[in-house]
Amino acid sequence: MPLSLFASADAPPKTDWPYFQKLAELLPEPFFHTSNFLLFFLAVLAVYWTIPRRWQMARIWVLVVASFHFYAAWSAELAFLVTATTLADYLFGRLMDATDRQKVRRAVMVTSIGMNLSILCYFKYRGFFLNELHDLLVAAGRDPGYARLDMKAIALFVPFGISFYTFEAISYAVDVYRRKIKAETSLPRFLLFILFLPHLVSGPIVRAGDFLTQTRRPKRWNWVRVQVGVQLLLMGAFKKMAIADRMAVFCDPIFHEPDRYNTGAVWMAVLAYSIRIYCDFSGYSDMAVGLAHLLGYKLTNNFNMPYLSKNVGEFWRRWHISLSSWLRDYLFIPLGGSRGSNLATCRNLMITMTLGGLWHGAAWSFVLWGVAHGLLLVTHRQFAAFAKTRPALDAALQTTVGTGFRILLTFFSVSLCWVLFQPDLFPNPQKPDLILNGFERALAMYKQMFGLHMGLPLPLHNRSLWYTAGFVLICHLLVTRGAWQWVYDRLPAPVLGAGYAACLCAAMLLAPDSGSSFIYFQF
Amino acid sequence: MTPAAAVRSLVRTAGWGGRGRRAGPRDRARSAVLTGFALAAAANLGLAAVVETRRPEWRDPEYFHRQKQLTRLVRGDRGQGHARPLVVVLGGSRPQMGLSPDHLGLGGGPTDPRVFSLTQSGTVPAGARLNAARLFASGISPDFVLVEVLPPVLTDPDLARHPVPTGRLGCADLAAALPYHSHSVGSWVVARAAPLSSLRVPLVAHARLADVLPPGPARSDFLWTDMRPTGWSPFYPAAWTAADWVPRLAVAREAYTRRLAREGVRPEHDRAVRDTLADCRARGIRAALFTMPESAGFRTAYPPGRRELLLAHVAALGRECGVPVFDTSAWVFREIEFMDGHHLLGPAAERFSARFGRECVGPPFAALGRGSPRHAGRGRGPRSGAGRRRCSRRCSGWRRRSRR
Repeated sequence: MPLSLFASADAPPKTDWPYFQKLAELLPEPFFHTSNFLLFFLAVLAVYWTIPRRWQMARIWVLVVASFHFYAAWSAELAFLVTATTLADYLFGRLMDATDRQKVRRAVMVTSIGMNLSILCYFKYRGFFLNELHDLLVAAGRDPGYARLDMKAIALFVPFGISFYTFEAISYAVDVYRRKIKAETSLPRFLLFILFLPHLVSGPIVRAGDFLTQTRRPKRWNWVRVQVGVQLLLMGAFKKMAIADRMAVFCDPIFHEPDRYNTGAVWMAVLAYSIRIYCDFSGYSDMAVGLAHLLGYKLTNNFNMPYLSKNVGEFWRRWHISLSSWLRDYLFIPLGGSRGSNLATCRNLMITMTLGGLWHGAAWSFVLWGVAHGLLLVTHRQFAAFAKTRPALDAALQTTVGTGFRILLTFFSVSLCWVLFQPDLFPNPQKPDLILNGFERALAMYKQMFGLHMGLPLPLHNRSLWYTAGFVLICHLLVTRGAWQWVYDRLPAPVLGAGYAACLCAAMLLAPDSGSSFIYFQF
Repeated sequence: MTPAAAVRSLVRTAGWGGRGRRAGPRDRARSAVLTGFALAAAANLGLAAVVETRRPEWRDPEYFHRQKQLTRLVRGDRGQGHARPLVVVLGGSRPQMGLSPDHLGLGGGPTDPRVFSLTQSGTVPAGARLNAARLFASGISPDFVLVEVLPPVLTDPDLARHPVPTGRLGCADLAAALPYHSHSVGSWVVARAAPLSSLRVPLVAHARLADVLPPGPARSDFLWTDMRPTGWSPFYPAAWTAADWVPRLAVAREAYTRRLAREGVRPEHDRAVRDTLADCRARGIRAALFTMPESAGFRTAYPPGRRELLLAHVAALGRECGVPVFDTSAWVFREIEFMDGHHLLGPAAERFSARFGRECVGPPFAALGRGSPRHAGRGRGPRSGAGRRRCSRRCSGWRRRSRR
């Protein structure tokens, strides 16, 4: 049984080039917590730091070549595609900088954005849109003139990380157009900005202004930085292997066939899924940031204890920070932001969150997940304005009990929305009764949750789930209250080292017998 | 440099000096990172050493718990001064569930044969070969070995290439396992270098944490915790209806239909059976091959004529190697008496074992009890001289190739 709810990391059909076939054997999965990747990365690290500091460009080329090979091991053809679009973005940027004519600059920016979005739509959304159009025409009694597309076959050819590097390329084009940054003149530096292997698969979405300046600084081996990198890498591996994959064992069977389980089991599966999705993605982000630190680069922090948010607005400032800030800067604010009327602001929020939902996946369930979050943001905005005019209510909400209640309510709302966050499944001959449509599965989940239904209990003993939930909560509290930093600063180095060893050993030991791919891999 | 000075230098380098020079942030960072990696490496290496020497059951629990149990029984017999001939059953999950040594009807007297099920789920011929080699290496020398042959896996190329999970192998197993394994020593070294990861499931189970930290949707620790003293692992369901066995049969049929899609017996499987029998003969141990029953529903997984072909191959193998073949695959049981069409449930297993003891292994086992067990097996058996020579020639040929 596949552990992942999402499309697995099935690689596209094998390339004909023997060199890349061999590469694929050496690096079969593009995941950071696999032993093959760690060996590959150690080799890259050794070569990178062996090159003298004054040969900065040589180091950059090493990283570009390594990143290309990392991608090509999964699919050589798609690696060439990503490199080709990056080259085109580089030329568009140079073109924009070469002229002062505003119309030309604008045309070039639109062309760059159009090219990137077209490629994204072709690979990721064409099956979804064409199939929806097909169904619509059939329902209207018209002959669509084409058959429904096989989504499984299409999914195999979606370049991994396409949504992430498309947004990076768009933000670069817009920033150059707005003259916030100058177009990058060095091709290897620009290639590294897009192809840098730590953020290539699933972000964080980096901004050109932040990253390109780092490529100009000579890198020096620094043990403090190495320590930070190792710490993040270990923490990410622990979150992914010991928590997220373990929670997948609880929630996946129920999310696949919710109507077979009883109400309590479905609620617990939703709790497990909330923990899983956080630890899966933040674990991946931690590993990406840690790997970048080991190479002397700093990437944006993507998560900041989101489940302790007091409202949905705050949640989005703490969850997938690089995406939410991108959506704010390049979609919400250009739409008008919150400068207009209340209605216009609500409209802008809904548009931003709906498109944010669609960005996550080509399925109605993701669109509705975005709509649900848009509605939560709008509701919170209205309620905040309402509470402001009632000082007694506002004061009650600011007390410890009130704050606890708000945190719980936010977590509850976000968790309910996670039920929608599931893709359409592909037909499984072994399970012909499986509900393939993600939205219909979500509806079945809600039906089980809000009605008293009998059925199977949780597939495993729930003690593990409660312990994990308690552990995640305690970690959130320790970090938020600053206790962790206080302890960390005072721990002797050997104790800290023993902690790293324990973390690594625990991640290895506690991973379930079959791991799953990263949830955000498909985005 | 004196040892004390070397230790002092190491302590300083690692930043453990305590009251000495106050370490800067870089020293602290270096010390923490290096100490962490050193401790993690030490933990893994230490565990690798333990599973190689003291605790082999942590890497292959299903086999080594049975072997330990067998050792206890043999020592107990010796301690009581009994001269019970030892019969060991090698094979997979079918005999593990379906063949009960207690129900063979051979008696439990001081000279009656002691039958033990040294079976392991998922065992293909190369796995049986490995387990036989492990058994002989442990110092236990049975008088009779019953080797199960699973006809539907004989055509499977994947199981021929990867017959045993690499992590289960110990250093001493490599010589017996690698000739049948497409994995290299390198892959074994990788698995053994990080035993905390490669052996996490049995480790968690042995730490009695499987309830709190379940290793996955399907637990497997029952394979060694729920076995009877004779190695038998029966399944007695409280209630068993068509709703239970029909989906299981469908899954089993689907899995074996894929396996049986290929034609022709894989030479790796054939070689493993021959080598096991040759090894037994070389040690003067009598052996026999046997197959387990399959339900009518399960047999539909075979393409037309394939089952007869495979059974004929097993029979020919027995003839060539001069060992008897007990083919029970056509013994009739109802679908409901199987878990999934090829694993007998407890009550059916009892009846099958009684008949198997009466009609198949009773006479040869009785002969073991009458004479000196060691000498009863040597140089005897139903095989013809020509057959013995042919099998011996082929087996030694295989061994030569394996060494190369």
